[in-house]
Amino acid sequence: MLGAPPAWLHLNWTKALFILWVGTLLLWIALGADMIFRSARQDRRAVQLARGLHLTRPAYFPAGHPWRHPESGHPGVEARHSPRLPPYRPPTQLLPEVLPPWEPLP
Amino acid sequence: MTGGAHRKARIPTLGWAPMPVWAARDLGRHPWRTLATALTLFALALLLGGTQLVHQAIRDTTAHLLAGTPAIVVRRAAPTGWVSLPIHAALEAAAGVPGVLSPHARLWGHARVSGQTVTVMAIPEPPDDTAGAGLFPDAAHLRPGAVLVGGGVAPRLSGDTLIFDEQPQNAYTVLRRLPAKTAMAVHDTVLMHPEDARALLGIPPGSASDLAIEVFHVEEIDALSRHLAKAFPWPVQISTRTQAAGRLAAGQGRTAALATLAYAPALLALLVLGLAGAVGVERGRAQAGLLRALGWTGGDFLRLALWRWAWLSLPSVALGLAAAYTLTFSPGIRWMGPTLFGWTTPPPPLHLSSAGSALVLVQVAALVALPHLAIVVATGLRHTTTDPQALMEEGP
Repeated sequence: MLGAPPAWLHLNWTKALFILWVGTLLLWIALGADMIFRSARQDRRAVQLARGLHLTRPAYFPAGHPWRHPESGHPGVEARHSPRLPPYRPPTQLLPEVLPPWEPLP
Repeated sequence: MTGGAHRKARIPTLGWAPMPVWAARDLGRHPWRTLATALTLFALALLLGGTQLVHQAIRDTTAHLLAGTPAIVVRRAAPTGWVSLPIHAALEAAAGVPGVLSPHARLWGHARVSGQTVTVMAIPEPPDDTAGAGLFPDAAHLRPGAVLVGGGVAPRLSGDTLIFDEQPQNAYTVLRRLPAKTAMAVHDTVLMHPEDARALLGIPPGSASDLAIEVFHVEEIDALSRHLAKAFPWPVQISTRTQAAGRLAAGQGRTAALATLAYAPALLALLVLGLAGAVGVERGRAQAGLLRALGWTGGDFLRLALWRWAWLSLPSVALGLAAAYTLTFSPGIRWMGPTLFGWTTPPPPLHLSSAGSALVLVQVAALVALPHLAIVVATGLRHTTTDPQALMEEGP
């Protein structure tokens, strides 16, 4: 269906595959060394800093994202629009006399 | 040439036994099919490995940092939202609840720098800075007017000056940029003197943003939350580490479901590989019949199939996983920030766990390579029980 292979495919496949094999092996030796070396030296300072500042979340969500500081959300704002937050239960201390105690829907 | 004799023959090309050479040349006889198979395996390994590595890295990152976070955070609530809490009264109320350990007042908030939202935190003041002793060698030099910034804030600086959108008249001097190794905690954070933080966030002296509390036993967190809610003389909003872990698990469940969708094209690709292998076998009936007539046994066909698989599948899968690892953990990788986490500036790097990542890579390699091995072996042994003459007569 594709016709005759082009000239560049008429190569010594044994040598080509052997070179590919050796190159892949060397690449993975390098990546393995990188994995071992970097995993031992990375974010110890970050953990110490997080404890020293009493941080509650890692910083891979940006500041202002509801997941980064969920405790800063307004207690009266329904947050169910965010798929990353659980169903909202308002604190009863704010509305003790206006509404009866909050009960889950049947 | 009988099946036993040809095993001892040597081809001078690489000094190898003939079977691996035969398998490599057999792959070369159908170059387009070989390249298509290799690219399919590479893409499968890249797609599955990338999604699983990202998912594993997020889990490792969060678990790594969440372990040392405050067990409970108490914020004073009001119908208008949040109000600052008086430090002395809050510490007294918290200390009166049995089981509460080391309550710390936190002074922090959000601000904007050139349109980017950043987290502003005050350097803990004595005696609260015992946990941070030695962490801030510049703390003694952090006078009012000087700040420390994370790497995510650096692109928004004007030289060595930081200007908040809320206070355009004040220019803060950047004393130091926090090192890259702290990015996972303070990537887009500005650390400043408590006086500057109060002025910026509108928190009066003697008040704080919230209270961070530790507990003696992790199992006490939920029970203590109820007692803490009653201990304060004003309404409070309580967040716990277990809630954070629960939200994280829920979020990861959704991410894992999305990652699982990556398996749909993977299954389709494996089906295509199987069909391509079956087509190749049907077209190779005559060759199989000839080899059978020359004395090849089922073991010879099995060895040929295994070498074909080893030559093609292992490097393709290995290169795909190497690409996935590079796209996830290379320094300076940017694609995850805007795509997954909503960053508009370069995001912090993910935590690399060698054990977790290695396990994921081995699992994905097995998931991609072993089904292909089954396809290759099944199709390679397809004609070992058929009459050779029938194969040569029927085949193309």
